[in-house]
Amino acid sequence: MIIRIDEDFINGLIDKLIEENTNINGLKNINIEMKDNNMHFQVEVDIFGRNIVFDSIVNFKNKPESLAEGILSFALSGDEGIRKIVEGIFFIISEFINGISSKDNEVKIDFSQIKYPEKIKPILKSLKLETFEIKEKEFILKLNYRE
Amino acid sequence: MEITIPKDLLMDVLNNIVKSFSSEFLKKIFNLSTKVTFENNSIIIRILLFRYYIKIARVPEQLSGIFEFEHNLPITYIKKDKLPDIIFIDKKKLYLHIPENLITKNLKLEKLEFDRDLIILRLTS
Repeated sequence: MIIRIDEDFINGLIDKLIEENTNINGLKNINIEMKDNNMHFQVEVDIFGRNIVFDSIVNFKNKPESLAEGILSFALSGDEGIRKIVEGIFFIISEFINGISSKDNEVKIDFSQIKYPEKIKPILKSLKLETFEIKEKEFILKLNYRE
Repeated sequence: MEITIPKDLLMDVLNNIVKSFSSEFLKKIFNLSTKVTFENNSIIIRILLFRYYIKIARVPEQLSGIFEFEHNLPITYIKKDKLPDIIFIDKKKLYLHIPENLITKNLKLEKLEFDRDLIILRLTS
């Protein structure tokens, strides 16, 4: 089973989930960009009347074992300012969504805490994540079924 | 976002579902000679001399909502009360209910297709 998630899809979701539902003063835009097999976070802020875009490279540290087990974690690099901003955004989200935590430049998404219907969970646990890569502006996840 | 599910994976999942949600009779015959094909937006399951199908009838605009399928599955052999509560089945229709949450209600369902032995689901944000 293959899941492909492209840059536009993630940005559309960020727009809908964060930008349309929150209003953080000074924060104008949050985007991701995928280039050279890396993912970047770009945050556009308005400081002292000037528009500034900060860029942070995301380093993936851990991938989940399946769709219902394990942790996806990534570290944020780059300027201290952007790291704090991105960490802060995930911290705010973590207050509302179970399983997301953000601390010391590292964001963790715990798949075992995502709420799935009880009877579906064993199937999702059996969908093991084999590979996880970024290629041509897409995340490509390959999953296999193993009990 | 596009999710592609090959036939083999669906077979593994089906085997698992049959093991836990159906009668002894169905369990016994299911593995003996089951052949599955995906074509014309239908999943066709051949078990011994029987030919069952599940065909896409209606899909919601968003990912959250009710997916409606036509079928001729032998529902007397299916333990309805053991099915996940997102699935409801009656004589001619099978309904899959995807609950609404922040993410599912914000994803548009662009395509759901059963074809060339693949299930393809395309979502846009």
